[in-house]
Amino acid sequence: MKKHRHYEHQIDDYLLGKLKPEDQAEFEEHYFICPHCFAKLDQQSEIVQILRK
Amino acid sequence: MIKEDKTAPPEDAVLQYRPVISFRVRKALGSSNPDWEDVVNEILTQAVAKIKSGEFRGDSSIGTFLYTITSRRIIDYIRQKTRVLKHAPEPAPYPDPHDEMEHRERAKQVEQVVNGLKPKFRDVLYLYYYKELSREEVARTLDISPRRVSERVNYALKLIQKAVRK
Repeated sequence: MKKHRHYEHQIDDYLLGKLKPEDQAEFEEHYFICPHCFAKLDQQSEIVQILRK
Repeated sequence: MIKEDKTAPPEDAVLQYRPVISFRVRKALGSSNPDWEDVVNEILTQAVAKIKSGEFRGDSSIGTFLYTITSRRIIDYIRQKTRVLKHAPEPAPYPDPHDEMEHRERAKQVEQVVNGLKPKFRDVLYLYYYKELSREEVARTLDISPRRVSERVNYALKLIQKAVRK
């Protein structure tokens, strides 16, 4: 499995819809099995949502 | 990975994944879509039924199994919605007032931190998140390296996260 750091770097791109479809699917599958990355994603998601407004 | 207790009833094992499934469904359907909670509940019910019927044999992790069910259900929902409601108006969203209040509070905190940032960080946040430029485009606009863009974004995000977490 790729390291957390690899997926953490993809959080922004995922939230901004900038990941390639295959990377997006891999990223989504990863956060289903990785509470660490999901916690980061969940936290960053709301902040990004606010910053985009 | 969420710890899998093989002796726990399937309901308990599956329910641990509710936040992840909810996140994925809301992202795909839109948070203001009133159907998202129903879709999540359908996924959870389907997953429990599949585990009980022995369809899930444990070849993959339960997370991967739930990811597959979730992705399929989202695709089905979108197909169905496109077919049935092609010309119908979208229902009005009705956000939870408590969630809304918390969100507004956090938005205020984020705004305060952003307003207190040095312009070089504010500019990067504005171009990257609000204008949705790529890192390379932000770098060209501000005449800095893409690496510097990432550094400034990460620095600003850390400050914001710290303030929101309090």
